[in-house]
Amino acid sequence: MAEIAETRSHCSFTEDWPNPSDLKILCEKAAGFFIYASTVVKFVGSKYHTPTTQLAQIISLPHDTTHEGRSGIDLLYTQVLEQVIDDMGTDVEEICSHIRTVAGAVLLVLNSLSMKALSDLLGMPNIPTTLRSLHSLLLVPEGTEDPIQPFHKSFPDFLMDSSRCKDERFFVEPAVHHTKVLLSCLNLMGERLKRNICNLDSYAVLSEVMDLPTCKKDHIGEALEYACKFWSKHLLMVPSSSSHVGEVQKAIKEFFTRHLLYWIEVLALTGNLGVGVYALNDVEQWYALVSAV
Amino acid sequence: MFPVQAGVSCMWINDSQRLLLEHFDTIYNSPSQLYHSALPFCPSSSWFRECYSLELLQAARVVKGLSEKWEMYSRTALLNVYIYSLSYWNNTVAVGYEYKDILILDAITGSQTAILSGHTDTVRSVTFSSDGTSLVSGSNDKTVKLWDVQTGGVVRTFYGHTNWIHSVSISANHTMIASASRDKTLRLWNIQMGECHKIIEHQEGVYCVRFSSTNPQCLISESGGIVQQWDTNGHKVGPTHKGYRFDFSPDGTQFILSGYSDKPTVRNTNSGHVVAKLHIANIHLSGVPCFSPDYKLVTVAAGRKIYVWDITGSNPHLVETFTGHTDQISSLAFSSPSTLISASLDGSVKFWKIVTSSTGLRKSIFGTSLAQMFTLLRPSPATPMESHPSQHLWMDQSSSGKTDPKSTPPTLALAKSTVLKPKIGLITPSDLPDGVVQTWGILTDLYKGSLQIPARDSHQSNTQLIDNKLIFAWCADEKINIWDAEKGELLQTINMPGGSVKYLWISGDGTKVFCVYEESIQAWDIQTGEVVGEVRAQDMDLETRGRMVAGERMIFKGIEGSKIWATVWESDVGHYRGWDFGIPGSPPVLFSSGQDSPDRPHLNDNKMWEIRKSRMKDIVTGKVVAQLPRRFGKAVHAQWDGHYLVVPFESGEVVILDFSHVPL
Repeated sequence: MAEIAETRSHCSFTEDWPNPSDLKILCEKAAGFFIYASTVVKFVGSKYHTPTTQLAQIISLPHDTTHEGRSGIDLLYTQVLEQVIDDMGTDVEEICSHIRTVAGAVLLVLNSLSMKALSDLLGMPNIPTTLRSLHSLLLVPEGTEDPIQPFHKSFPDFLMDSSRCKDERFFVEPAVHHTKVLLSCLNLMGERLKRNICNLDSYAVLSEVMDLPTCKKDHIGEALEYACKFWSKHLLMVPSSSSHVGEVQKAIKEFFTRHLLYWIEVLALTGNLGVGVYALNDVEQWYALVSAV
Repeated sequence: MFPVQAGVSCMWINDSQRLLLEHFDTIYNSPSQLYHSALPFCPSSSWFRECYSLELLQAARVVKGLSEKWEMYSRTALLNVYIYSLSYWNNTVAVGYEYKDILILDAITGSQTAILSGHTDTVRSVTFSSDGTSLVSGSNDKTVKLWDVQTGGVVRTFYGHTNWIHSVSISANHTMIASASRDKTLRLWNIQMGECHKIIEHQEGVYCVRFSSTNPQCLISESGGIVQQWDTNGHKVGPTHKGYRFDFSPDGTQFILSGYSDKPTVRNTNSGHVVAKLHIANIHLSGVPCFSPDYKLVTVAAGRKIYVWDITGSNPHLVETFTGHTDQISSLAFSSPSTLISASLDGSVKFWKIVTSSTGLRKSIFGTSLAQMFTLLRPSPATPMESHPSQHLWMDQSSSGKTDPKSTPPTLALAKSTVLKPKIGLITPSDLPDGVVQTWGILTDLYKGSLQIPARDSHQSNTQLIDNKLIFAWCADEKINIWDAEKGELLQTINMPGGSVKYLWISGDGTKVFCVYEESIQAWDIQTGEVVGEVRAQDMDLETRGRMVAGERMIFKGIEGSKIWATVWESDVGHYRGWDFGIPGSPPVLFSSGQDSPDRPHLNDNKMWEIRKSRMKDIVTGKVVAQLPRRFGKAVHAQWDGHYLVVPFESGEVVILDFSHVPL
């Protein structure tokens, strides 16, 4: 806190900020949870807000330590999210849906993606702004190619549990968002996959390609590699009762009849050919579930 | 809601899996072979041929050798050594084979995931414990080893046997291991104490042992064609049976026995009474049996075939006969109620799928009507494909490659007759027992005629496809006979001075025939029948003089046009030499020499055929321009004339590829 006071000296701090009684309240709220304390520090230290007001907002949160402090962090997360929408503009509904999509993708992807990859995958160019606004909840590195992940497992747990995330505007329903990620994957593959994607010599043998890592980075990229490798895992999370089943099946038909060979090519180039066999098993399993309904 | 088309999506998934698994290693090494090799060899009934017809047009056309349906196995893992045993547990297959190691394969992809090293000789038997935490192996090195599956390390080694161990088994409660050995003993080992608990002496070598899948006190062994049940104190239990191989049912109440007769039997473990008889026609000795984990199927391997029966009804009925292995099957295991894995002495592990139809009856995928499935697959107006499937193979060359598959529907046109030059192919397996050589039209697939040549143990013969003309040469009775296969007439008979011909080869330009003897190479003009030139090993000025290798000093390496390459052995050193016989009136000209071993063309046009890998390589660019699927086995030889590649296989199958529209 003292560090915040020092670096943000242009704001007017009273000498004893934060005062001992506030600190005592904070300690009680944190109830020994480091993630609470660290989230508060990030929230209060936000570059875009005045630390004193930020702290006052936290202090004023109702004191509730039921569920061994969990409820406390839930209130804190809600407070942080509310401020994000306040900051972002007027169309609350659109902003919330945007936040849900982005947070859903970050929390549900099977390996952490960079900002660039997320933006490619979701086809949303304005992702950096949304992600930066969530900086106290997600670890958002400066570089656009470093992976983004939540600071603590309690954030996805909170966001994806409707009994904890009481505000419907923020609640991320895993089935819905797996479907979104899946459709993004299929869409991206449909757009980008093509024959000889890396522009290699015809009949090239992989072990003889000199600059394969560069080729992969330039022509395939993180987002497409992710989509090719993991789409079937998201498919498995789409319940057979989902209203999107028809849409998903249509996209899969398109995938099989138009892009399948190019998908296999990317898997081979990225060393994931075995994953392909498992993925087809996943699809088979999903179709069995769907046709049983 | 979008209608669920289960049948169609099953076809997509199934075909995709087949494509991926059958060509896994090829695509793994070179992704572009997906388009050059995997796609063209998709069965004629596969939906791939319609959906990806534009890609297909850019690839070599399979004129002959295309199957109508997918092979019965989904994946072949080729190890090229005798495989004796396999065991399955939770997506993992352990393989015991001719080498000292145990291979661990992924049961879904068939790729190798680990190697367990420790034995010092062939591993004859491997088996997972029922909880999958340990693996037991028996080897020719006379030891039994217990492995920790997690770490891959040896937990215990059991010493005591005095000869090869043929079979091992682990009890259901993981306290005891049984091992059967050629040293005429069956030994029971206490895992905890690491010592021999009991030695059961036999009159003859013991070749098979199995613990009951549920009762840790009960085991069966085989010795001298007699099968006996034991308890763990070495007391005989129940009557003996005639047989060789057996397997316990998953609940241990029954076992299946195969061996002497053509009727493998399912028997009650306690009474030994026959519960069911399984009939295989015309087979007198049946091999490894296996129960499916859901206890609905039993399989018996007899020779190279696998028979599958459904035993759920009152009478067992045969649901499937799997063929594909080229040597005796040594081991079987189910990886799921519908997936069977087999290991064979042919050096391959194959994965088979037994499909249950929607009505609950087990039915082979291959028995269902593919034609009917295809009508479901007929593309909607969004992807027009009006023409008949057989017309996909040719198209207007000018529009290929430029067409964007997404926007424009493919423009297909029937090829004009000028594209289809009349060609003929000659099929000449090297050791024809009856001496009959047959000629077939490459494109028409029509039988053109046959030629009787003297039946011998071994013929030196060679076929070349040169400028649309097929020439066949063979030598017998000190004569070289040259035959024009297209006209069906003898072109020339050349009298040879004698001596044993090691290789007979027609020159790449079709004007000469080369005879490679042990010590010399001679060339003859086909037109005149005269000698064109000769090179002799003893005339060569080699650096060292000494003992010859195996009495053979000239080894044929390759040919192109009027040039021939050979290795000349001197002592233990091979010297590479190339001669040009093409200069009229002058002796053969030496134009290349050295001690390296460069690739040499065995075919026209700088191409060479790699027999072991079933592929054609361009020796200038080093690229593999044609890769034939593994399933065809080993090729006899290959012919290439710049447009057509003709490859006869040892199995009798012939593959013909048309490259006339493919830039190489």
